Amino acid sequence: MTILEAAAALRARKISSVELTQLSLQRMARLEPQLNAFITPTEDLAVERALRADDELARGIDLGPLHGIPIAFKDVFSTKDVRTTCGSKLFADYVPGRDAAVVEALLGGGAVMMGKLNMHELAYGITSNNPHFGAVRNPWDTRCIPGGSSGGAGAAVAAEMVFMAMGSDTGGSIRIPASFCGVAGLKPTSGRVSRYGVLPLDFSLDHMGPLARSVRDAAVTLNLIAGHDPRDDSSSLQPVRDYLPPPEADLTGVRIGLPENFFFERLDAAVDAAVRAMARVGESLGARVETIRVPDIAALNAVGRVILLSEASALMERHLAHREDFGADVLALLDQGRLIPATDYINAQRLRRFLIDEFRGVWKKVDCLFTAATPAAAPRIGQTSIEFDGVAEDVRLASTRLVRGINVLGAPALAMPCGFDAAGLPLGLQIVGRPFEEHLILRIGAALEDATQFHRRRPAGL
Amino acid sequence: MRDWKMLARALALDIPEPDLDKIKPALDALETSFRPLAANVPHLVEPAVVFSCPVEEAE
Repeated sequence: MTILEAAAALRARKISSVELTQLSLQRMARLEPQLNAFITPTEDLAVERALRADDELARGIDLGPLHGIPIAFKDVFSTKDVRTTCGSKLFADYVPGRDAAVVEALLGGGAVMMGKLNMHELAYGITSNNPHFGAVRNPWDTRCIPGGSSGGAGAAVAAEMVFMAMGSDTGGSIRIPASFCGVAGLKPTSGRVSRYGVLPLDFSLDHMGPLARSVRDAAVTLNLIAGHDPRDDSSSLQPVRDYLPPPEADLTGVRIGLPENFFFERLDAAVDAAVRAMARVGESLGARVETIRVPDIAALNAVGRVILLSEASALMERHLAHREDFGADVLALLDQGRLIPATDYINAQRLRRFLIDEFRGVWKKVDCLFTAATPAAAPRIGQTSIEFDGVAEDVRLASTRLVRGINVLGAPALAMPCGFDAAGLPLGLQIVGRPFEEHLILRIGAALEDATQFHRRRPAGL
Repeated sequence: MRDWKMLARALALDIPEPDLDKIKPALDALETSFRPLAANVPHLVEPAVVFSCPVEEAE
């Protein structure tokens, strides 16, 4: 069941919010010992809010499609009176006195918070193998990582413990778990969704967005969380619109770009085939598919790494005297950032502007790009490298290779399931759009979803 | 390639030597990919960082 289906059932009195919440709680009780998706479940708050939602709906007070729907938040989002750890020992006992802007918007829209989700420590990594709160496991195969850093979000949505989970994405942290867990994940345009009240990893590249069971569920969530927020300096004044795609989305006239360079290099054969098959589905729905040469994505990735390493280390430097408080992988990244000179950081920010300008040429030729979200399906927990064409590549670098550069551009990007590999693990498509054209990539995603129904498949063992 | 250990000492960073050995390959790889890019940024390009100043309220 999706958010829109549950919302319709709630209004038709076929189910109550309390029943939806109890179903979520039952799944959490049964699956959490295997998946470890939550750091702080908030059962009592959830039942209390669900009771209120049922009462409000019965009295004709309708706060919108998320009213009475069980959701959860990655543990980077400040939640008033509920601890917010950022997956870190540093914040293990931190209890905010206020809600993040996104939390305000979603709880204000009547959503039922089921808890705070596990994640990669400090949102700085892609395994969600958290040294302080334990490893999150992939519902499709518990021997595999769910991706990260929003790994608990991906796992909780895929396992149907919640309908939607809010994540954050600095170098792929929404799209990687969406890809590995077979759910929809939207990284909106920079400035589209407020960062107010989110524990930052970085200042230039952090984005907030939903992971959900369907593209339309991501869209209805965006409708609630998008918009200007004066409390966030980077928040855009660009007007919002209705992001929910029409029931039968048509792709006539849409120009899909298939990159001829970078994005189809070093891919698992199943991923390559699945992404190209989705382009053909798009074509069958009226879109025109064109091959296109894109600017230097390796350069975008290098720029993104310099910016992230520098900003994250600047942010965490005051804590680094206590090296024992960090996991080994995060500490290694923080150490790297301390050795990057200020001149390189400034030049990375200059290159960022230069590459954004270069990318404008792409958007004159096509309306979106189709790429893989990750070059392979989910790796095993503890796996350190993936082999492509006989050459081993570090798991973190491989998993971020196709997504990191999009954060540097600030462009919106949607990850969604596009098939399954021979082992039955989901594969992810990434649709990248022009800045502030979330409505278009969501429409394209919804049309593909309607045609393929990949989003209806759920992990068999659960 | 840069001498990361010397740089860490010059900056008085408290990074133990074995930890510096661990991060050297990643830093070397980044240096290899980033240095040629940094050397070729057109002169007039300014950083993408934008610092916005709050609008003053009218008296």
